[in-house]
Amino acid sequence: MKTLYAIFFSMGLSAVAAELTFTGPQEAEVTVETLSSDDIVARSYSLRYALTEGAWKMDVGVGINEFDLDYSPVLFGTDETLSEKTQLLNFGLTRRWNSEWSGTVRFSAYDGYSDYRSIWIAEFYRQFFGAFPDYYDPEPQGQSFGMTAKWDYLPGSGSVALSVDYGRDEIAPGWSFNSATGRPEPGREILDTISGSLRLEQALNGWLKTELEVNVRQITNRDPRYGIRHSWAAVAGPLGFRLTGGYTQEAPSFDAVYGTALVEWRFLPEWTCHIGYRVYQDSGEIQASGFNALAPPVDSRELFAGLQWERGSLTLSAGVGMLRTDYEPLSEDNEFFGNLYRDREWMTFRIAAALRF
Amino acid sequence: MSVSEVCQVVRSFDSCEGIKEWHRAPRVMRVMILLPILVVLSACQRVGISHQKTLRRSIFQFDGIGAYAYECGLTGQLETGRSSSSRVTAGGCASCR
Repeated sequence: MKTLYAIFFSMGLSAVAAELTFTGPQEAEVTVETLSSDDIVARSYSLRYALTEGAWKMDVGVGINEFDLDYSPVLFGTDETLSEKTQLLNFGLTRRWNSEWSGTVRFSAYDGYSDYRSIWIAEFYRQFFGAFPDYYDPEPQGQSFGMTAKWDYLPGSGSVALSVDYGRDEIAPGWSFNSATGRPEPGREILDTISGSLRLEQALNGWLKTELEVNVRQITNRDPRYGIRHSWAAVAGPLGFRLTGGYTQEAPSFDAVYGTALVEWRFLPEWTCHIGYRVYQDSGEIQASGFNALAPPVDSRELFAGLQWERGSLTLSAGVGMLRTDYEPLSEDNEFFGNLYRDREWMTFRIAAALRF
Repeated sequence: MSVSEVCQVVRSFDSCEGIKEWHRAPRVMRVMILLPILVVLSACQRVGISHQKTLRRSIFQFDGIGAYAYECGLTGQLETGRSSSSRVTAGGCASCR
């Protein structure tokens, strides 16, 4: 896996370096984000570098996600402190054909758990089945490839982008007893995902802009998930406003509705602050395998605020948020995960810097 | 193309029997698709150079990342139904959807 990362990374770098001299605009960016509650902490560290040279743009990103959890079972097992790290890599290459058309190919990969929830559930299975010789620890990882064709039908004012992606994930499987053999067996370990999206951006005048994205995602053995997101942004002098709403649906019974409202104020030429409120509600996950580790319906809300400082080619930003998740009561068959899906108060932090040179 | 012409096209599209998926979509989804398309088509015009600087403000960068983003990206771990074009992989675990 690490070799694969190195190959793609060096291929991209050498392809561009061989053809171009590094004289075009470049951008380096670092971002640190944290999501924390009293027993779960997720941190994300990412570095990104972008180079534009003539008609080409290369974008490379690396990152590490860290997870610290206080695992606490409901019915049996032992309390554990879990720590995991996930490495991430992104690479993209964009070619601009003329003032209206551009195309992008991209590759991304990760090695490790993709979220805190899969770590919790994997620990549950380890404590339940770990004593059996058939059990083995999961080694989750994934890769994806994608392409985007973008048409700037009104350069600077309007664009349409069509994207197609394919991803393969090696996941932490669910385990269950095979009644015929009396031995534990893992569930599905590979998931293939195909997704497509169409994204439209249009500035209606010099102070009002809208965005519409429709997307569909198909994962192995599941119905397609359809989503739509629609945003409006406007400025009035030093004030800026943004409204976003979205809806997602997957047969037979999943749907989610969400929205964000944001106000921004440029109170000094180099300083901007913002405050926003996000709401999200879904109908709970759909059972996909024999054992029920599903999240019940959740309602979450976040109040967040931030500050941005911009001077010349340097931009710094920082933000903090208070987020609350309210889960509906668990059904009898997934009470095992009562401590995973309990209501929590979360804090979110983010700090980022971007330098254009 | 005028707004009335656009509406006529949309009506004919809506009555097409072949587009069953469209009819199965909830009303909220259909409204959310049609409304911005109608607005954009009826107001589609080039914005002058003098306004381009304003349109580069972060508030207009809907896909802004890093220093130009407003929200913490890790919240996607809690809100799995949020649309995210960057989230291609299924990740997670076999039991989670």
